[in-house]
Amino acid sequence: MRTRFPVAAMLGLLTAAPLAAQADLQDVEMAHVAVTASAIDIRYAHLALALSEDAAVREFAETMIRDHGAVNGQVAALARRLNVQARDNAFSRKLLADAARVVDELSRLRGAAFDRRYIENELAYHRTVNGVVADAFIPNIENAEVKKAFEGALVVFRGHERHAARLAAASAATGR
Amino acid sequence: MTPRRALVAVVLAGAGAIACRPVASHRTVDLRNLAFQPALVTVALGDTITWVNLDVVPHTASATDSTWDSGAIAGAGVFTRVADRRGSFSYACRYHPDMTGRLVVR
Repeated sequence: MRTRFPVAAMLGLLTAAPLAAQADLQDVEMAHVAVTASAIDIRYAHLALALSEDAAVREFAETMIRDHGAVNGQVAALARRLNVQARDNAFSRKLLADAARVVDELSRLRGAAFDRRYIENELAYHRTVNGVVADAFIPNIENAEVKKAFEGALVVFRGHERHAARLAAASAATGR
Repeated sequence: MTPRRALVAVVLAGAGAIACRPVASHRTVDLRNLAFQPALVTVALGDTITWVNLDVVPHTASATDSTWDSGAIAGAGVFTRVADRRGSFSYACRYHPDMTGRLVVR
């Protein structure tokens, strides 16, 4: 059975690009989106560890690698137990395309300019993906175990959003 | 006092001491949904506290005054320590700044 929800609206959240079509996503496709979103954030974090010298930014990046890696490990274990495979889809591909642009932008920055943009992006990224997971994914997931895993991950990712917001506020306060 | 009576007195005194000594107890703090639950724990000196990580992601239980630190507690992992100082001690997860707790040792 398929779950229907407006992917076009979610993509609009990310890029403001209006898409005409609506798509159907199954649990395995939503799982692929979640794994992709986490992998992207890990990629951003590795870039931060390579380019930032700010202790708070580096600690945040290390937490992103640790937490998103753990969540993706949980998804992989769950997929093995359910004998299913996360399935690639248009939303995942859109996330990856957007991420490539962000990585390109971030990799050209250095020092405080990098730190500021990295944290801004982390805040916006978590806010957007958390909204999609809460409002579009979780209400439509059919498998109870998958739903529970998403609910647990959402708690963690909302913590990341608050953490990023705190760093962004500190950056604004110090003008860095 | 005969040696036999003295021995009985010593045994009874020892038994009384054992009976009066408070038994150390054990408390558990869950690390769940990015929070220490309960956030406030009150124990007696010598009690044991075990932190149990019920989240998927790693956490730490780290004293704010840096006197003790669990290190990374993986998902489903535990950390145990004995309350060895009286006082009120704040602690936090080094990875997730929202996670704070307090340990009161009486």
